[in-house]
Amino acid sequence: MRDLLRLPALLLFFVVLLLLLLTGIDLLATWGTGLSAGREEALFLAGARFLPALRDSLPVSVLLALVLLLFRTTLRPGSRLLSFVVPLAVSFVVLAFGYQGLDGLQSRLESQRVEMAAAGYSPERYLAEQRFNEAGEQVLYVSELEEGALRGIVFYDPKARPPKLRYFPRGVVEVMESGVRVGFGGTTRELAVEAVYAPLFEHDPLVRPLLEDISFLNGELARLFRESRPAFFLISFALVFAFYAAGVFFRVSRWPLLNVAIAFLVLRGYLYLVRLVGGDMVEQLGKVFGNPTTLSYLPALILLILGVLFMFVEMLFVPRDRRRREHA
Amino acid sequence: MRRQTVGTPFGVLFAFYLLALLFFLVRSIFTFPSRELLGVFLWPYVWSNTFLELMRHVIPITMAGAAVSYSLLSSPPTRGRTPFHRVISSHLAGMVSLAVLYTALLLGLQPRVHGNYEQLFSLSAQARTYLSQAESALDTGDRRSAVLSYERYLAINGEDRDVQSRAADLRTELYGEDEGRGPGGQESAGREAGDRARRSTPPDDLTEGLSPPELVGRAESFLSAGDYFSAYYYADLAAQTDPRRADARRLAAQAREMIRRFDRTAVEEQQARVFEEKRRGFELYNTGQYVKSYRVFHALNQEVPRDREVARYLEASRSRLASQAFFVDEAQAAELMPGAEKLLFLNPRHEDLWEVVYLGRMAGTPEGVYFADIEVAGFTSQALLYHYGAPYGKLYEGQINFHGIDRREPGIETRSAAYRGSAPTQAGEVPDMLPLVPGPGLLSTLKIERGSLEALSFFMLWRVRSQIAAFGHLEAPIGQEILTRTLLPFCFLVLALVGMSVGWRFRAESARRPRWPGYLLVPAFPLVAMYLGSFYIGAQQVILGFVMVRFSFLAALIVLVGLQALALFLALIALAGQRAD
Repeated sequence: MRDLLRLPALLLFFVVLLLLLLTGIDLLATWGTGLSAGREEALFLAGARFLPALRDSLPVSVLLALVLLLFRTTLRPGSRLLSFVVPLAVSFVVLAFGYQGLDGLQSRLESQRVEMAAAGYSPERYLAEQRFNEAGEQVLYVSELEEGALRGIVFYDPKARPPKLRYFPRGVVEVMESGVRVGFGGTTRELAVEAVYAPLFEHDPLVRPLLEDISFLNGELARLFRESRPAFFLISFALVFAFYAAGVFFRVSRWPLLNVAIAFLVLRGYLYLVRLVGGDMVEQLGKVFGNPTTLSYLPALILLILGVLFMFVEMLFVPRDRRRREHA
Repeated sequence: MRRQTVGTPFGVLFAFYLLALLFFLVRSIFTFPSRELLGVFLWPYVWSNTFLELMRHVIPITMAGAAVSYSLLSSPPTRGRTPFHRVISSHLAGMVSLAVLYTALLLGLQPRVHGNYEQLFSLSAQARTYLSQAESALDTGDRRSAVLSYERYLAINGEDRDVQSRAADLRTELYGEDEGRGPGGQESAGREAGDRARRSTPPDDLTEGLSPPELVGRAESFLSAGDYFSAYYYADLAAQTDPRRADARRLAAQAREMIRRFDRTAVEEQQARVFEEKRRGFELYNTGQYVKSYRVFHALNQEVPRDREVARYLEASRSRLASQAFFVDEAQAAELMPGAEKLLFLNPRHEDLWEVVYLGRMAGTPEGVYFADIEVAGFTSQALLYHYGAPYGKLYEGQINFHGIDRREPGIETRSAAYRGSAPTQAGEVPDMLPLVPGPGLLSTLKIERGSLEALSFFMLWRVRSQIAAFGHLEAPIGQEILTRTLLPFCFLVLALVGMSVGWRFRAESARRPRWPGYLLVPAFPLVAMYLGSFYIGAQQVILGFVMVRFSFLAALIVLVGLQALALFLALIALAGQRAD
């Protein structure tokens, strides 16, 4: 019965810890990226990002906390019922209602975001004065940049017929959603420049597919939250259920380390599956069936089916206290 | 107490390394980018790519290998609780040695291999350009240019038999059967003659049409009149025109000695300064530093325009500079050599104007450092002052000399040509010379692409970081590269220790070893370690990047040291906290 209190406390501890870690990293990256536009704007950007970062980190934090809890229940198995039902219920509540709470809070602070959107980012976020600014293969050098006005511009275009360098005494810059629009020499160009410090905070290419899957999951949750509350609750439950049911892999073989590795890969596979089913497959099926509302339940249903399958496998074939038995 | 051994984990670890090496080797062979690289570069690509891939993944591989090896170690026979650190203390020394080896490879070998790897791509692109140039030349009927372009292509890809035979056919058409008298033979003969000519003969316009005896006579009269500069000038010209004249050499030495001995206290202060400058310019001229002597005499000429000696040495320096030329074919040959590409930088030699320089290619050869595809734009925030380009250049006394001559046809030469405005000949600028502020070592780092930092050595990065902002480049990416290269060896050690702890914590029971199908799933371990390792390293990079741009590079270094000390401490605690039984 001690598990009744211990497991939720442990789960919440893990969730808070992971939430702080992931949100903190996200905010530092946002803050650092904005620093070329000045400290005030960078701080403002980081502040505006706080709630969205918290909301985006919540699903991953809950799912990872569940995995960490699985380690604990594998090493020290307690009551089968309690160690299944309690973490599942708590994690569902934290995910579904925590998400709802954060979203509500964010809506209240929407005015801040609107204010930022109206003001727009400073061009200094994307263009550094007296520095060569890469824009794909092209490069823009600006001697002076003040309130959207450019002076002493040198534009390098490798595909241009010689000369590759071209000088313009003055121009203007306007910040767009992805990059900047610059006007000089009678023409306007859209340059896909990154924020000046963005390359410092880029993700490792090795984990980019995983981060894209997580980003897709966040997008799906946000979409379902807006469009259909039952669908949102269903996928939230399906996620925590499928993740927790994958605990069977922590006991699947007599080599504990291999079990951990397999379990990690299965969990990684879930994220890929959500993207595969929720993205491409729903789109293709939507063309055939023409009922997008029903199809939006598809990822959740598949996760539920997998969860039930793994739960049956565990109940029927895998001894719960395998490790303890082998130690005996 | 006698140490209890539980076997060694290094066999499994090395098996992981070996398997990874084989995997990357095979993958490199099958993923050879044949559209971008010439076939002749297959094996250089395979070896360098295999090494780079291994280095890129070695941390997760080590972590996974350590975890697997410890999960398969047998527990020692227990007599009570034996602290785990006693069981594995001998292994720690091995892990530290591996971390040291990794550091040596990361800082020493990896930048070189990366540089070579990048060269394969640039040489391939260069070769394809030559091939298309040859085909365009053939289309326009310019067979001589086609042969040259084919030869340049073959200098990179000598194994292309098709192009070999096409070039041979064209050579036969152009030069007949005796190919030895083709461009190559002519070039070597021309080179020798040209070199001789460049070294010995003074420019014709300096002698004013005087014969050596007349030059010596003039030098004697100037010497007796106390005009030592003019005396030296004419005596030296006579000695260069006819090296057998000992009297000319003696007179020059005498005049030089008088210049050296001249007592500056005997003249007024301004005269003394002018004289000192003249002497400096003279020494520069005398030691063959014509660019510097030109500048000195140009400045003096502004100050004392009536001084005939100054005017004469100014003209002499200019004439000497005009005769300084490189052979264009040497510059063209340098294009085939490994070097840096697409350099773009500010050349901060004026306070009141900006000068942007673009160098398409830079390569060093025994003959010197050459450049190709050059553009220079000088401007203020109000207007463009000059914008010119040159096809080739050679580094000469810290300047880029744009004056190239054809070895076979002296009438053909390459120089700078103005696109807009005029070349900056005012303010003492030497025609066809661009003074460079960055040295050749630094130049090669001023590339347009940010991704090229990996080919720079750690020490070069340190050197470049403090200077690069003056040349219009951000220093933050270089700071981050330094921080990352400092961080990675620590991550290697910490994650290897974590792998050891995790492996031991989840080890298989001695009596119940994993069955063989389990071993087939071994690739799952590096995959999982890759995710964990990437997040661990990525999170630290974000923290360090933030501290660097918000505070300073030094602050980021301090935070790095603190973080690593903490991580190492925690990893050792986790390791020491394991139970041996």
